[in-house]
Amino acid sequence: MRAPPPDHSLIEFAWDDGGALYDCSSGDTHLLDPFTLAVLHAARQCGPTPEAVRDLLARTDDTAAEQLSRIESALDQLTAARLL
Amino acid sequence: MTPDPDPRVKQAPPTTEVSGVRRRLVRGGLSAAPLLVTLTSRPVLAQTCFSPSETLSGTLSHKADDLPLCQGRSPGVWKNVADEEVEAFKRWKKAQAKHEDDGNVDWAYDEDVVAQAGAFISWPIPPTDAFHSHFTQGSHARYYKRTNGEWKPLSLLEVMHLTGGDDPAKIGFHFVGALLNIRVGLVDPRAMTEQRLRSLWAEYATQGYYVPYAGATRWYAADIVAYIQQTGLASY
Repeated sequence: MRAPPPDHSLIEFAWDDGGALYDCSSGDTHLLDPFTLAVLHAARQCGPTPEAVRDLLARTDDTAAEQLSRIESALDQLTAARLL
Repeated sequence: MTPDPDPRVKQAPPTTEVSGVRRRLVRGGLSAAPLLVTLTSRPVLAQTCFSPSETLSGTLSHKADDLPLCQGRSPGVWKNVADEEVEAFKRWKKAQAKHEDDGNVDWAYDEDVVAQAGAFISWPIPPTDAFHSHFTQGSHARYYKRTNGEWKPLSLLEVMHLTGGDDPAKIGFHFVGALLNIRVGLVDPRAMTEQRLRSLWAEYATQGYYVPYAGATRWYAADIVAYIQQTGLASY
């Protein structure tokens, strides 16, 4: 399995209803919805464990505390896409 | 962006970077499953390839985002490169001979010239290597020539010059091309390796056909060549 690309090889574009990441090393383009993008950002700060991501997101949004399964799903997708 | 005031939102600690965009991102679409779509880039000229035993399932044998890719050169390209380099070598030797007052040398294409030029040819394997030093001989495939009353094995490059019944379906021609492509890394090893290529040849050479998997139809020379061409081990 390929390792995630180094951060410097990812170019990110974000807008209100989502974002896109372009991997310069592989040429792949990833389109993310807002939630998954937020999970990616949080995981990069605190590590890719669901509880840590939930806790970080919950600092600014109480509803994140109830979305553990959704966070887990997002982390699985990000891992499968080799973004984490 | 200026965050919207919302009584549910906690004030972030001063040392933490708070993104108003992120707050909206988390709150939006609470019941929808997370969405991530990947558009995979692929080399333009490469084609998905698979081993002979996978011809029944094809690319379904592999994950959609991790398919084996092969972009083997045409065997003709390898042959032409070697031929051009032999000609360049002959011109160089002629120029040298003229300079040394020996301008009447007749440099016909022969194994001695190729042998001398061999070091200058950009193949990953010497073109003067005997074909059967890489691919076994059998009752259905023996590449030899009679020279001065002796049987001598044909070289890889000489096999590529065979025509008609001397190389049925140009199978030897394609196997040399495939071998060279594998050697320089143009073939995904999940589709074919040098060892498996030699095994495929060995079965063909001894039986006259190859069976890719149990119960499959026999592959004769033309079928094997079609597999090599269509999967990019050695393109058309």
